[in-house]
Amino acid sequence: MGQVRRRIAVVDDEESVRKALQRLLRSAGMDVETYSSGAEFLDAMPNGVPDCVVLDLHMPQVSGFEVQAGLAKFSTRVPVVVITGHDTPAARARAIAGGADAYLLKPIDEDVLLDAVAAATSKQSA
Amino acid sequence: MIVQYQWLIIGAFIIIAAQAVLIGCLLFQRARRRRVDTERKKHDETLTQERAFLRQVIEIDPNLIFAKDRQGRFTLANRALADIYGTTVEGLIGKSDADFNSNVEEVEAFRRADIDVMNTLQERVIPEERITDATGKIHYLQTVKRPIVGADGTARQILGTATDITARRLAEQSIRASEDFNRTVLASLQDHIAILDANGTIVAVNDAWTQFALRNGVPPTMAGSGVGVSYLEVCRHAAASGDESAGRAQDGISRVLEGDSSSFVMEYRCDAPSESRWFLLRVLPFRRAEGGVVVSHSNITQRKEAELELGRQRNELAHFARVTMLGELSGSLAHELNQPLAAILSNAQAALRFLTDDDYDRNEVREILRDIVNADKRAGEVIRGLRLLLKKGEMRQEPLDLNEVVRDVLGLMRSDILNARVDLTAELAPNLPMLTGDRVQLEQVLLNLLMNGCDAMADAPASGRKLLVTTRHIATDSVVVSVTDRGPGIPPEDLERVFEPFYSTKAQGLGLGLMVSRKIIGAHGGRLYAENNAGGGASFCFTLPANPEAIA
Repeated sequence: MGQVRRRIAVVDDEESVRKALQRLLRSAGMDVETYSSGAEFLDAMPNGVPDCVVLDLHMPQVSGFEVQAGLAKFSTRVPVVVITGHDTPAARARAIAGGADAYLLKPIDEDVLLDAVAAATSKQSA
Repeated sequence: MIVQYQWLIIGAFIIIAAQAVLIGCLLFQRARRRRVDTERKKHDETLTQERAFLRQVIEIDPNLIFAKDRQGRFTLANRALADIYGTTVEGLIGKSDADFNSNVEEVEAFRRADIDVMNTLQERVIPEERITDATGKIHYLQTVKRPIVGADGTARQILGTATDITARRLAEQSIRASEDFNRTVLASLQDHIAILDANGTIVAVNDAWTQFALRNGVPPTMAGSGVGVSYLEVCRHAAASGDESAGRAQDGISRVLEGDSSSFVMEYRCDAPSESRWFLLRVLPFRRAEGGVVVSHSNITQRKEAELELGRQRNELAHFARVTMLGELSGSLAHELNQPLAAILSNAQAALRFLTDDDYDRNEVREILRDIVNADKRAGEVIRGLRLLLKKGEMRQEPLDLNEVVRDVLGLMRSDILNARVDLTAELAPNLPMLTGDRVQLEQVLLNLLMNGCDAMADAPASGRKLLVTTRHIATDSVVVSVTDRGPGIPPEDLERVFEPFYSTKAQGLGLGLMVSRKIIGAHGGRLYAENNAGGGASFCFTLPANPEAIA
């Protein structure tokens, strides 16, 4: 025990997905904060940097790519696990180029997500 | 001596008396003669007056009045006859028809009739005979000839009167001609036409009606005319034996008969053992005081078959286009399906993890299960929408709220529009009238136009990618939808070509979308067209007929 609970941010405009991911990550022992838009998440960044952000690509106004670009401006690197329901080679390439630690397709199996989050945060702590 | 004197005196007296009587008689006779003369003179004057009066009567009579002797010479004539022959009454007397009429046949016919009347002593009525006047014009006369019988019982003259019936005859001829004309028109029409009285009983039919009834095994007594049969009853009977269209026809005819509708039109299929035909039934009021209707059945099989064939082709094409579009839409669809699937999977896996703890929060698990149910339903909706979109079927006619159709499509395309980084604005007019049409087909058109709009701006900087969708009510019975982009626009010479099949500027896509869209809008009674905007970019607009009574 004594392990520090990791703080994960979930950014997805779709409420049902947001809530489901929050529950899953919580059931795996993580603290989860949810954001319904990229702008909301970026605004909250100065108040506390999460250990990892699970980021949807398809969002109105500020897309996942723009969130990635926004994160790059902060001094602290935040690991990003990109999730998408609409996989295209271009999106995948762009997400990876934008520094994504993982690129996952919805629906996401728990092991895949938890492994990706674990890998991303451990890279961070390493 | 005395005696001698006596006798002398008596003799003288007698002579004197006789002379006196003679003179008296003479005087009396003269007086009487004078009186008779006066009376005769007076009588003659009266006679002359009467004659002059009769003469006037004869003169003013518009009928031709004449008397002729055995030689055919006029002994009496009036002005009406003199006018025909272009002469005077005096000029006629003593002359015969041959002196004025060059038509030998007519003159001979008059002569034969005159002689016949004199010989038989019988009056004759000639219903119609010709007479050529001085100008060569032919008149028709209705003539009566009567013998003038003398004391010896023979007739040496005839008296005749003739009425000029030329005008009447012409009028009759023209009525007959117009009746013939109408009958011929009715008979030449291929439509089966019957006229019903106010009770729905057939009062007249045309040949085509009779022929059709005969060919279809209606008993000849009934079909021979059909007249006298209650058509409403015929329809009622057919409806009772299961002919649904006969029931509708009966309703329609009754409504027009009762003045509840000004007309009734319906198309129906008539299945004969050998073939199946389509007819158009039209019921219109018969415009006369007694009321009634005109019922016509037109054979529209050819047109209908062409329409059905066109409809089949259109449905095939539309289906093909839908399948094609599915490929183009797959990104959106994948996203729409993956969202609820993602929620379901993560929720279920979270719940399973919670359950490993003995004191799990029951409320939380209940909430998770409820969310799973909802997400599952949403996925079901997407699939249902997809099936509807892909369904191959006939064009539907259902009442539609156009704004709702636009909103549904925008919802479906949300993800594509996001992907394309297009800023979409919808300006939907409130209180749009309802439309009648096929929702899926109209959605397909909108999808196509919106996708084209997005594609047209793919090379533009993201800030310039603006798509505007509007709905407007442009006339009481028309609405217009426009999709306006800020792309490069369309070369003016291609504004029409874009609707041709396989015209495409895109790397993917078959270039069928606009052609199919135009066909769909055309089938809805509207028009799809393209125009370039003054400020750049293109607009695709389509009009649709609206139901002015129904406000959405």
